[in-house]
Amino acid sequence: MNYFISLWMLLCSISAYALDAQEWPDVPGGIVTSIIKESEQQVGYTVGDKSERHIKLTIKKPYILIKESLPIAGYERKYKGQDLGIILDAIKDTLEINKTSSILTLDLTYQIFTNNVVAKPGFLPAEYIRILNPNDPEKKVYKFRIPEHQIAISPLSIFGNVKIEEDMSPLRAVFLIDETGKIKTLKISAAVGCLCLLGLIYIYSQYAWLPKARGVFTRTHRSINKLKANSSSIKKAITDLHHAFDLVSGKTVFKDNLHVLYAKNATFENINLELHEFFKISTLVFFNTSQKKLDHDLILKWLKDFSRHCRHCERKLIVDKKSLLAGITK
Amino acid sequence: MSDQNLADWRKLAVKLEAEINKVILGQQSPIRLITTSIFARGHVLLEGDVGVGKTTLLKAFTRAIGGGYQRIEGTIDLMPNDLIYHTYLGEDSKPHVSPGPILMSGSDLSIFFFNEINRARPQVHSLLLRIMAEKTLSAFNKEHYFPHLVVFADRNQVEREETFEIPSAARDRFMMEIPILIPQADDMMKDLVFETKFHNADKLIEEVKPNLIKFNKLNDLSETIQENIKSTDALKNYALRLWKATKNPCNYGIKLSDVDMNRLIVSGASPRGMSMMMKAARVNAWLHERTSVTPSDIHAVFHETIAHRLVFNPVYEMRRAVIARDLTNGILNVINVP
Repeated sequence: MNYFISLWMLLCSISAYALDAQEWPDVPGGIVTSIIKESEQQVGYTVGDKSERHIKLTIKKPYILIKESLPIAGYERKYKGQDLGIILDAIKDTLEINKTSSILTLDLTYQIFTNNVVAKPGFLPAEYIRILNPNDPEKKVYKFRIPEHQIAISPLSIFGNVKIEEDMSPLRAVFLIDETGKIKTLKISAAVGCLCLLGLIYIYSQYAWLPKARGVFTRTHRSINKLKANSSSIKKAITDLHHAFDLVSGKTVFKDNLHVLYAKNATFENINLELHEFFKISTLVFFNTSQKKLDHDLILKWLKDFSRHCRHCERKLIVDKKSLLAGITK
Repeated sequence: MSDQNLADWRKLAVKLEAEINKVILGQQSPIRLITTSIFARGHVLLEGDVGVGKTTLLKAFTRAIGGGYQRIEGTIDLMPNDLIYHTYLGEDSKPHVSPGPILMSGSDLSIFFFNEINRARPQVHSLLLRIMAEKTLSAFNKEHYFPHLVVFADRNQVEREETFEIPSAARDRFMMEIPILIPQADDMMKDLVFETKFHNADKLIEEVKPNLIKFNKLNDLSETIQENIKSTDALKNYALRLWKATKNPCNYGIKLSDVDMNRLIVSGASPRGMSMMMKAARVNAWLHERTSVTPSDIHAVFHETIAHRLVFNPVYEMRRAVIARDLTNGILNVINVP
């Protein structure tokens, strides 16, 4: 039984070999047209270098591409029974189908894995794709040959020459670092840096809102802004501001110990005049027993401006000195 | 008394301060507090190291205020009757009794200056308690009145040998206990050491204009000030919270380093203490030309009117000066207005 199984497997492998070795006929002229863009570098390739080919094939209908015939990445061809030393490193293919034809675009990247003590010719190998006419009852398959591309593979140095700077071989191109990736990274970094800079300018400008959006004075200003001018609103606004100062300083702030507030956030020194005015208003509203009538509209407007300035200080922004208001209690 | 009179008196008060500041260097704050106390009709206790000028300061004030002035030195053998009378053999070889320092000026006694009060015995403190609180004294089958009396006393906390701690009841009679510290500015320190006019205290005090203030008008003036300077509800609530915080600082989250706050306070400020604090705050408002009390007026007198009334656990009594200062600062820092 084992004998029969072995025989059957042998026959299968022979038939597969016969199929692989089959010669497909060349595609008749005029069905496939090709445009090939080769790498500018023709010479000076050495171990590890890569070369790219951009191939555009137009296949007229009714012929279609047999996708399985596309080159396989990692495959190394042989030349005269020996490994060529050049492999297909990557393949990128796109197929567009329109009414009259299908357009196959191939980006092939080859990598050189061979070298020699002297310059020697080499080539990016020819590739074959296969097409067929689906309307053909015989389903006859044709091959199209993408021609090879001649290059020169150079040694790292001329044989016996150890000083590379004295090597003036015309077969070797200048060694260049591939800066494409780095330039791309640099451009992206510059763009990100510019965006960050713009962001920072916005954040720390006079009308910024992002930092400390949940800060004490942000909340206080928000609540004061909603108030309407009357006696209780003014008392609430002043009380809220007092509490905000107390929270920021960690202790009760009075006009006599404003230095505690300045120690916590020196930006408040910029509105020193307004702070003293605030304490005067607070005293006027809460501790003055005289029957003098207060202008609620004016005071509330002042308190709204003041709380906005305090919010600026909390965000360590520069408060416009011209916008500071004092002397309301006079 | 009209507003105009109050304004005139304010000018006098400012002048009084200026006179004292002329001879006492670098003590603007204590001088303001003593002025406040005089116009609030409160007794003053000065506390500080030896030789910082406590006695000179009080003597300068007594000269400017005028009226009867008596002083006594506290000693361990001083007895209450030494304040009331003394006996001696006269030229006629017969025993005589003459009034002591308390009675010598009669009802015109305006300043009684008790130097080194903590050297006197508790018996003397008891007598002083009555004179300070009631301004009366029974002696020689007669009731004596001292309506204009203000007691100035000083003590130093450095030397504790042969001294008697003033009981809390006696401390509570003083409106203020004012710490006197050496001026920190180099210029002033140099002047104190090298300016010869500061070396003879008696001669220095003579530079103060005598009888600048009519002592017998101060009681009426004080009443007028207290009636005219008002307090709003917000301020009353603030004062109330301060009072409560002196009783239970823990409830207000006040913490002091190395102090068990649950055990610190035996007794907080008394109602008399708080009323004295408000009296002093009203005078402070008047001195600042205000018609109502503000928190800053309370702050100006809070420590000096309250700290000496707090009764601490005996464990902490040795560190009273430091703890009391931290506690009053802590209370002012925590209690918010409004």
